[in-house]
Amino acid sequence: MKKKITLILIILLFLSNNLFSEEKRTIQKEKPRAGMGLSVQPGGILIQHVKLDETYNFYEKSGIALIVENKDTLPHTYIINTFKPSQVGNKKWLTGYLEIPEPSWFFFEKNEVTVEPKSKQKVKMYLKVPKEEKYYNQHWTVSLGVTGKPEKGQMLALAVYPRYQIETETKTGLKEKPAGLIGFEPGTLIFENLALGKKEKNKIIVYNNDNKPHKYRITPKIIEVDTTKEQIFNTPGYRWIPNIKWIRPCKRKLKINSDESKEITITVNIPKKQKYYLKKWEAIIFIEPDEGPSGFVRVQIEPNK
Amino acid sequence: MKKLLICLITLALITGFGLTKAEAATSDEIAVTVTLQNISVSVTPDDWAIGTVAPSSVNTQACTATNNGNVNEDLDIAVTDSTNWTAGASAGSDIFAMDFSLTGAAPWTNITTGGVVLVNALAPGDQTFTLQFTAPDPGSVYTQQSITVTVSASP
Repeated sequence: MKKKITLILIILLFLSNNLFSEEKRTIQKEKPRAGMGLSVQPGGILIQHVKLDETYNFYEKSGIALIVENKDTLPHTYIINTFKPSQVGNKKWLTGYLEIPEPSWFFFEKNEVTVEPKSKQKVKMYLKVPKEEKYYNQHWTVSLGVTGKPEKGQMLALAVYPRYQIETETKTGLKEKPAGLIGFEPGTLIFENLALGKKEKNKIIVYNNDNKPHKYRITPKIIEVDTTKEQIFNTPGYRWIPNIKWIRPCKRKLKINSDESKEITITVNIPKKQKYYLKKWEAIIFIEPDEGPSGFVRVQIEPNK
Repeated sequence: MKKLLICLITLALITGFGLTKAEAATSDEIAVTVTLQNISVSVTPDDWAIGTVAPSSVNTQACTATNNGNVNEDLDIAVTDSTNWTAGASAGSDIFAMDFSLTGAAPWTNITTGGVVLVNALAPGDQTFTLQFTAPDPGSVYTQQSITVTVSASP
């Protein structure tokens, strides 16, 4: 009798286990549910040598358009706009760049786009910086906002905020101080036809446009390339200089009173070696105040025979 | 024949120099470099229908946010007010609370209309989180309310 009861119990246990595992399988089958996805390309661009008062159509100029991809199984409408980085997303931006004074200088052919499920839409992008002397030598960043328009009855929405970097054309002899709490003249310091083995000097002017004095740290730098991060990139056609010690500022620390400017002499000395002829190198002079935004000046070097 | 060859070489050299000059001349032209390929985010499930709620009742929903891009992304999360309810730090009179937790348990972080950090520097891959909705107490309206929770990605 005892044996029979034990056997029945074992069979029952086996069956119940099997039943539970069937139930588990059913639950697992139901688990994967639809999700929504949004992708925006390019995730970042660096725009250099921007001439003032000129309207740029990036699609015509470089074949680059904003691509909005809806990865959902439902159509979605997205609002496209530009912002100062401090207004949206993680409210951060790349150190060395200042927020664009007016985000609407970067604009689109349309500010709303409906994208069909699993599809992409191209939106043309434009830039026009007004012609004012203070906008030369600027390094700015602008945030693009691609935000899903909440659909009726839908509780979740997505948004993507890429940031683009804009560098206006470089100029010396400005008639007006450059815009921003920190400003420079020029934006790019060029050493053309540099004689190897000889010290060559050039000057930059740093402007403190703040209402209080600041102490600045001046550091020549190159940036290790990391494609997973937003960073200061080198100008196309130039490589980061192989030895940053070849570039020396006359001082590493500088105090500038409110609404004043000071000059820094930059000395470049590249050893006389055959392999260094006809190169195109770049570095940055990073200028970091005790408080407030940092900035940089690009240094471009073209050694010649 | 030799003369022709010399002429051709000379022409090639001239053309070559011409190209170099043209490249140099365009160095002042606008330069556009794509620095990051794409910023991409997805969230599953794509909807959360809470249904009829009692005052102060709590509803949760497990979610997964995915960085489908090729760069690290900061994910932020924000909530909107509904027509008759306001988002708040805790439930109150016509005030609802929307919170999230990365573990599905306390501590819960309150989601504001201005947005809060969901996760920083998320490498391509998944991040699970749980949303928690606490209904107003008391509520003076009995019509359907629509609230939007937005997950945003920035580099």
